[in-house]
Amino acid sequence: MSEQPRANTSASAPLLRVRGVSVTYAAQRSIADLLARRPANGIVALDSVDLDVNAGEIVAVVGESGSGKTTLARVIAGLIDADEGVVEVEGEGPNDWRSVGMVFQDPYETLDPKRTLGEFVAEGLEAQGLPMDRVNTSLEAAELLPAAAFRDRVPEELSGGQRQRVVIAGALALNPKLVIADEPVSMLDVSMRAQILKLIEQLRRDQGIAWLFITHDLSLAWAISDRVVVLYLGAVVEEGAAEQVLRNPAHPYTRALLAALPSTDPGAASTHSLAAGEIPQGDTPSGCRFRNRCAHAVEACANKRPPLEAAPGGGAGHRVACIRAAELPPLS
Amino acid sequence: MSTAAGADHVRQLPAGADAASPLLEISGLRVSFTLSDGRRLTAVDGINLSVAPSEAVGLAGESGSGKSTVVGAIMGLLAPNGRIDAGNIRYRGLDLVAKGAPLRRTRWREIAVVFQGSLVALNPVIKVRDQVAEAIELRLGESAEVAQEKAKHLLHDVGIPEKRLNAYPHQLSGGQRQRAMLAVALSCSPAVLIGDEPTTALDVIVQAQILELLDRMRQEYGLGLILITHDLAVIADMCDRVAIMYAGRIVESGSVKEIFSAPRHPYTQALLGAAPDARAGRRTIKVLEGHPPDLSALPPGCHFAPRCPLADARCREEDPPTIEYADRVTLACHRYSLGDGKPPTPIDAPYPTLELGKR
Repeated sequence: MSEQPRANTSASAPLLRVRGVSVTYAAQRSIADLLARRPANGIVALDSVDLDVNAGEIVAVVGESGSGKTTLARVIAGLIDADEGVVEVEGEGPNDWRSVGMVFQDPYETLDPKRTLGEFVAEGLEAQGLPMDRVNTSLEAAELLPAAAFRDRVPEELSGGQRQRVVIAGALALNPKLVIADEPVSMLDVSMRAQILKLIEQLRRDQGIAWLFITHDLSLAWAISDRVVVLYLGAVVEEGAAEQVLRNPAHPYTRALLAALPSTDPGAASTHSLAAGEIPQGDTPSGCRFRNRCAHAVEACANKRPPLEAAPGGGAGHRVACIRAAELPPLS
Repeated sequence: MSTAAGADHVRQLPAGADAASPLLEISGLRVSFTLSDGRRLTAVDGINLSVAPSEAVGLAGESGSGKSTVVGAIMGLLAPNGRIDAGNIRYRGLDLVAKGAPLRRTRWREIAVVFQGSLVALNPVIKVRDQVAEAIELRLGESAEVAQEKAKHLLHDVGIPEKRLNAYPHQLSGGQRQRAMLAVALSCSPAVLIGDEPTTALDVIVQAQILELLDRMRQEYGLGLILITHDLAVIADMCDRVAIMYAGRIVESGSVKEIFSAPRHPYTQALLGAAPDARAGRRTIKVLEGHPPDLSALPPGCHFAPRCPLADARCREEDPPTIEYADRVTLACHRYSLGDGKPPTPIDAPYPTLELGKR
């Protein structure tokens, strides 16, 4: 139970520090709204998110569609601005990051079909004024061997798994300390997935690269990460060491995610839906945002947003945002 | 029991069908497509599959395995360049492949499908209740009034809230759209329901809700359910029997209990071991090297041989025969001796493994 995250959790500053990040998208107004001069209600994509990633750590952000996980990735990568809050990498603001790479879900969209792999990797080097000899070393680090043979090829000549390796090579070229990977394997066939996961772990082990691994797949999050952060409707509802969160899920939403996971294990119980309905697409509920779907909700859940606090009976760093966490029945 | 459709409905079988024959039986089905350069590609190569009332059968495989082509063949919805070269698809004894088969009579009324992308399958400019009612009017010849009433019951039955009956598809959530699609599919009280990746686009909690609903409908209506998916865990959860497809062939089939606890075909072993499983506490995954084959340039012999750690010279030359070594349990693999009618001892294919999260 006292398993600690692999990387340091001491007072030293984290590699990535996210504090109080909020993003609101403007909602579309109908003509009737305009005529009645109703104000535009923003859709809250992220609400005051805190997140740390330590050097060499793999942190998984787990969320369903609509959880805000991709918005979070884009804010951290500096692709969109937060309305509020701070994002720092090694204590620096967004204009000074050279140490963050980004890998998206769909390699087909990231790569330009007309450009060679070498040109793709060189693009980032040029922008950062880094030496061009890093093209080969990056392709090699992504296990596209021999690099000299790959650099003149175009994406069409590669498999889906190889294309994702090229995208990873592009991220590695900048010598990052942190790579943000948004659903990096979800578009790949099962047989390609294992190869990419292996590469991610190797790069962490051999080069000390930290990963922010964004996924909808709780099994994968648990298996690959040191820590898991569960996001629901733009807010962190639970976080902790991967093993703790999966063995002792403290938030009703995490429990529902786990109960809904089908398993091929002949001994596993069948899945069931512990939560009603779906992620709301319009207005965010007051107080706890999960309360409309939660079997344990009481009136007090509507009053204020529950703070992220130490999980009852949880280990170090296991935190949950649920006022009823201590009263939840044990998991069967 | 719902009044909309269901067990109380006395089935009028189409001409040529008889109630004593198996519900749906596919044998030796072969489907090919003509490519733009004139070559032919065999997408489904001689498969057998059957489903009985109230039974759930899973058809599993990666993209390109041919599993969705099987749906096209059953429903008579193959692309224009596709052709059934051999085999039968019998519904209660009636051959749906034969010339002049009453496909218009059987499609939707006897056999219905729920596809993955419900946003394209539903008409965007018609309210969901009207879409279900229209299907009932058109296919069962009911009056508009009766059809509207049946539609209301059916939508209630699949869990669409009353206040959403007159919503347009885009006003529904993803899970609600999939429920509405299920109502359309069930509108003519089919005997067989095919789910073609019916939950693949959904979040995991909503997937669990829809799977629960499908399972309840199967039991209430005595449906024969064929579930087509790349996700073996969904099949483990829902099905009685499973067939594993690779490059157009079924490589292994049998009861879910048997196949998932003792997978014999090396490809089945790879698929079952390819993803970590948090509920089973398994972090170690099997690494399957290489790529699925190009169906227009298949290797000779066993199609899986180039990726198989057990393959020997014979596997690369001769097609493995499919042996039914027990009732409705099949295996197509040279590495097993299957002559004596006994379940062969599983051979663990030595795939490289990867232990994720090794700290």
